[in-house]
Amino acid sequence: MSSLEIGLLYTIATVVVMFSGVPIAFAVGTVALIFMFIFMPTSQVMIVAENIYSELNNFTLLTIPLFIFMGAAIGKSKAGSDLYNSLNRWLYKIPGGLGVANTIACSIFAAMCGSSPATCAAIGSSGIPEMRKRGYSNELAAGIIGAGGTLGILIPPSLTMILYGLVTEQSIGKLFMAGVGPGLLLTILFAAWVILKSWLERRSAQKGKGHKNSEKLVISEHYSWKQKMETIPRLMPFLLLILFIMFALYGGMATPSEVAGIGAVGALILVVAVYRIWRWKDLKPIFAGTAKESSMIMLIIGTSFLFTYVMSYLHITQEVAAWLVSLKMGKWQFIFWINILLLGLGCLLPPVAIILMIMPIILPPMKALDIDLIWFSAILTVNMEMGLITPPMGLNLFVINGIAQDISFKEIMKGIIPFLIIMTIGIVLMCIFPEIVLWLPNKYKGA
Amino acid sequence: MRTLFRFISRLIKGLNIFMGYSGAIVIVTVSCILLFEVLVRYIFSWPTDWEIELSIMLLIIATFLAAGFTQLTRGHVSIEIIDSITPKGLIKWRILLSDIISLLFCSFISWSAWLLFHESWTEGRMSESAWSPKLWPVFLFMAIGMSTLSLQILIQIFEESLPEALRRKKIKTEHKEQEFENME
Repeated sequence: MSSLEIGLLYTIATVVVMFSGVPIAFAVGTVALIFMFIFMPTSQVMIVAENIYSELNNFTLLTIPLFIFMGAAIGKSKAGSDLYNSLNRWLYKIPGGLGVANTIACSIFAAMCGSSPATCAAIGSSGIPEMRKRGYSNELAAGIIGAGGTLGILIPPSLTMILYGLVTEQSIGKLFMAGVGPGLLLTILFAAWVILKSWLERRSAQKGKGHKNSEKLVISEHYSWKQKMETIPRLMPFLLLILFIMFALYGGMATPSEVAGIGAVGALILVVAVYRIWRWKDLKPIFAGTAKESSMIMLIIGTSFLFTYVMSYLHITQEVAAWLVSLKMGKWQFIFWINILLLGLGCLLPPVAIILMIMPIILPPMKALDIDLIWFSAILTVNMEMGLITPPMGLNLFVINGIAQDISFKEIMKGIIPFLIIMTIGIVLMCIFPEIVLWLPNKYKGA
Repeated sequence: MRTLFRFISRLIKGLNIFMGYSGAIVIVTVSCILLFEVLVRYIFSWPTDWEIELSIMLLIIATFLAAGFTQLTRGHVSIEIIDSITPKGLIKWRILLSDIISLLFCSFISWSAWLLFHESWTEGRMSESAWSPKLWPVFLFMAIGMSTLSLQILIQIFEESLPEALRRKKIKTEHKEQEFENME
């Protein structure tokens, strides 16, 4: 049987086992194990645990549980609601000020945490009820948080970028920097849409044609300078933490893993000091969230590495990559089809699994086509973000559904679609102007 | 027999909860070790080999410690899209099947991890770094974590998926019997 035929069987088996509802970590491991039994020497099967251990025995991977812990510490406190409430006091004069405040709060929170569902939950748990209370439509409130939450994996620190760096052997520092420009671009585009949409909703409300809760949109707010300034002491420690992380990372003081460790301790100290979270009952959700998410992601990483190890051992990776090169696609044609493939996979699989399973295959053709790997990291991440808000597997959709169970799936989707279009525009802009991604990493001389 | 099963079930659940929180505390410990590592490197220019290697080892330990705890709430993410097009009666069987596949995989990895632990314990296997710590503690926790994860899945099969699958069948049979009686 040729490697391509084995590869086809491997793909079919993976799809069947995964779609049977077996957790992804165990599904990819099971398929790898079955193929090891059939096509590989018994000695390889006997050392499967050692294979998983040696893949997890990696300094870069240290970053993931630590950034998860940092995000959980801040996410389980009231920092999220403090963040958008404070921003709202400064932005209330803009149409849709609260919505814009939520969007920016998502970006700022994303800079403290590398996960999208965590960002979505931290800001959305109080952001969505607050927006609805002030007359925002269900669609807009859900769209702002769903899409804003996805910035978690784009704005550094980003779990997706860490794994991408590991697979493609690129500098994590540079990859983190590559996420800054696109993160700001998407934040601005999202905010622009929120302003336009809330202006439209407000106008409909004034004409009496708005949705049933829209009359509250017309009520004007006012905050004095005193009210604005009193929010700063609560926010300042977290903003200083972000600044410290950026400084330590890009000033070459510490490696990403060390920064993650320091950031995690810093976040825990801040949460204890600012929000007085120190009792076991308050700390429990932070610990439980950290343990579950870390274990879930790290097991997916371990078994996905086993999956790609089998693919490489059976020459599937090499054969498929050679086949892709032989198609002689142009650079943009290749990027277009890869984006379509990633978008399709993103709707079904978490970004962690996609990067580990697909990148080894598409890496050789990308190198052959001279595609900048730092630039592509941002394209891939925005693509993964789109997957996070596209059914059926869009994790952020489930988070929103959990926060506001009375918002129907149809309403969530209606709110999300404009943001999906904006993200597509974002990808096109990054293709036309690669500087959006590359300007900052090119300025950065560190490793 | 039922009392014994309930006792074992509660024991495993309790153990997995304890191990899950321990895993999180290990992660907090790693954060502190890394903070210490950066400080001593900057202030005293001490070599920092052991801190990094210990951190990696502890995080691998934390991953496996919390695996069963994650399974307890079915926190290992899966694709359940097929349920929307599957007849309701088949969904329970799908869940049972996926639990059995998970159990087989995790049990195999547990067995492989116990072998690895035994080998590293008897051979005194050490890391190849300058610090060169013994590796058996990592493999021991890997084996324990995968074993408690497997036991957790086994308990969930007996407590949730198997009774659910059988219950549906029984209801169906009862329905059929009732239909048959009605027909009569």
